[in-house]
Amino acid sequence: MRGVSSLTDAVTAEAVGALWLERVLEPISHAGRRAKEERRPFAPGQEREARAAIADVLATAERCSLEQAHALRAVVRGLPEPSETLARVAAGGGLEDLDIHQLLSFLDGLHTLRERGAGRLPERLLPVPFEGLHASLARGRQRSGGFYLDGPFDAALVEARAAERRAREAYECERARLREAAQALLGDAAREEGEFAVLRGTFAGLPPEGVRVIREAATYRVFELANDAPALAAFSLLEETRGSVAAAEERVRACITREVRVQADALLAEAQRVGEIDLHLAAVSFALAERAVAPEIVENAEVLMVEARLLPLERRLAEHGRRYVPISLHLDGQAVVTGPNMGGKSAALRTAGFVQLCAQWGLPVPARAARVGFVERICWLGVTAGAADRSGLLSSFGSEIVRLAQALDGIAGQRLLLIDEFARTTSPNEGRALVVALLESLRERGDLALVTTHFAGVAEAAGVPHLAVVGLRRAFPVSGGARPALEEALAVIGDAMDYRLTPAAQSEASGGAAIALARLLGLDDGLTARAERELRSARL
Amino acid sequence: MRRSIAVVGLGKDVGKTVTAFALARAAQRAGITVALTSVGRDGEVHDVVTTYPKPRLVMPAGSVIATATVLLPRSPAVEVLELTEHLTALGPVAIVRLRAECTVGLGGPSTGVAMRNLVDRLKNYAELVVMDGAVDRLAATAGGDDAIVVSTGAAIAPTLQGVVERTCALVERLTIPGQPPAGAIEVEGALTPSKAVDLLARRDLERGIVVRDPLSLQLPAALLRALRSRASVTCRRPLHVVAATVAAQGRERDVDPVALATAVARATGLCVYDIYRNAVAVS
Repeated sequence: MRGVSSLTDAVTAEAVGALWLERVLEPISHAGRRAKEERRPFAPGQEREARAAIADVLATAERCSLEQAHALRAVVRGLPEPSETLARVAAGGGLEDLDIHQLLSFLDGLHTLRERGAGRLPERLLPVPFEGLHASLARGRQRSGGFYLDGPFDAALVEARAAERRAREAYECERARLREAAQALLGDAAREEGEFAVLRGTFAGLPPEGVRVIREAATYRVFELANDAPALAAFSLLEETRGSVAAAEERVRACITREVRVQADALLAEAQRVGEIDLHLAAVSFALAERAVAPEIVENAEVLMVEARLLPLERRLAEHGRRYVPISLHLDGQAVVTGPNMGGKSAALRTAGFVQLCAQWGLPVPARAARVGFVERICWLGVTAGAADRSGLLSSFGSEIVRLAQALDGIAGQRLLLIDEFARTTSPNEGRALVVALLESLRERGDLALVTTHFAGVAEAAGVPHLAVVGLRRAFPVSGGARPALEEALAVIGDAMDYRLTPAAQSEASGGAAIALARLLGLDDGLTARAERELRSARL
Repeated sequence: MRRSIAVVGLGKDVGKTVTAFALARAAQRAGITVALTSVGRDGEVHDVVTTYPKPRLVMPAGSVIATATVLLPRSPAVEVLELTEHLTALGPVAIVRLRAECTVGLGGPSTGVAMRNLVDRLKNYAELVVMDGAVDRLAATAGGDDAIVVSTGAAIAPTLQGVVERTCALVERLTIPGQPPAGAIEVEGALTPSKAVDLLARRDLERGIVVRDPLSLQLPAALLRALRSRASVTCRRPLHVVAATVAAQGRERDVDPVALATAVARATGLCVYDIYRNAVAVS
């Protein structure tokens, strides 16, 4: 909506749902797409503007149902894009009939938008009625809904057309006379206008007056009618009247062009406004469909979210008949998130990113409540399809380090870093040391950071808050019977897991469910039993 | 029911455009509102490829045409009905109604899907849609209620017999019947010579063969006949070939018009019209 690249890179955009959001908010008009190109996310220092933008969206959402928003968008979708025509006219070019038809449709659409948007759209987005010009162009409207340079534009045009009609009828009489004479001699082939073939067996003589041969073949000849003097005189008059019609039509076009040229700039501004309406209605539809609320926008960088929903994940879960558990957390500096595998740690990070993104795009957020301070960049460091090193020269750890170095490059204190299980692929001791050091460094820099890890004691060592996923409410059923299918296993995990985040009472390593999860997800019973024995002996 | 007629030709200069135009004029005389469009370019003064003169398309008032916007006459002005999203090499396609008789150039979309969509839209404005078509763009019309007229003529082969054989092969292909028998061997995509050879090697050909539409048969006539001699060949979306037209005069040579019409009628079983002689031949 406000440009992915300025706030997130491609990897982060994918991780925090920016691409999903872009698709949902995709403009439906050319003007909307152009307006979108010009938009940028709100940056630190633009909090007031962002508050106003979000309030604007929610005000329309208050006055408008989702169906009404969709109906208004349908009007926007049907509007032609007149900018090119208007620019041409403003530069001194003339209008074609197709252009006039397009402008009339555009003005019709503006009129409908104004009528249906009154009391719903913000005043600044209500289209200006170009009543005079609209009425003027509407003189060419036909019952079919089409446009024709018709009589109401110019009495001289009506007269010229009547004269042309009379001249054409006279010429057609002459042609009918010639055709009748030819038909009498050459037969039915001569009945039609254009070329006609006559077998030599039917007629082998010289062509009669008013008919000429245009092709000779062994068994036939091809003829066409040729105008004699009276027909030629009628044709000459017809051509003259056709010229008069063309001149009258050009006069009308020139007159309309002048009318449009005077208002071309205002019309161009209106075409731009249509783009703004498109984007606004997309945001309103989003707010209504997702029951989104206004976040409190604050000056200092922080993310507070109450029952926030990561919409792309919520959709995917719904497709599989599963429920999404909203996430609440408060990030005011740096924090560590721990919890069992599949306990929603990464989803918590992504949700924070999604909420931040919505707010900086000037959108209400899908949460019960939220407080957001703006950052310059949102950076995701963790597992996504796009994060892998495509050159193949770097290991997983190497790729992570390169990405981290890039993320830390630049002005400190203006980023939201979402770091998912950093250094998980190196030795546990060194990995833990790196995570602790990273947190300490981020604290000194003043960057917002949410870090998930399975290493023990990280939050305590780094001196940052520790949030933990509540975790398993009950043990998974002990294997013995048939192994559940993947969908079923995921449902069991979903039922048993409490995804809420709470402040951790003590710094402890998360886990305890990994082996049970592995069994549930299909790993061999013998193998998982061995793992449990190994775990017990290590604890002893 | 509103219908459409596609005029397809075996090549250039077989009277395709003259046939489409004659159909449109005849329908107009019968009080039927007509829309006309073309796959690719038609109605230009000279053929873009051969530079030979082309027939002028003078359409009567009341006709609806779909053509590239640059080909629209500036005068007499036309009634603009729709500017479509379909693009041609000459720009977007507009649908207009002629309010006075005028000479038109036709340039419609070149893809089957776009043509199908355009024909459906033209049916909103006219009782009969005539398209000056191309055989390979016909797939989109398969399965509908469109009629097909095949135009052939002296221009497509050096001898009368050659013209008749090529015409017959096309008609044979286009008239593959629908209603495939239960259990017929389904051919996905085009039935190419290599697939046909594989099929001929099968021992269960009595089950019959079914293709998607007649244009899926990308086979030489001899191979198709060989296949049909061993199995019923049917399609899921048949075409409806209703007539043929002949043009005895080619660029390089002429053939006897009566002999041509009679031979084509006999070989194809179709009613054959000689548009130039205003004559008809039946098998």
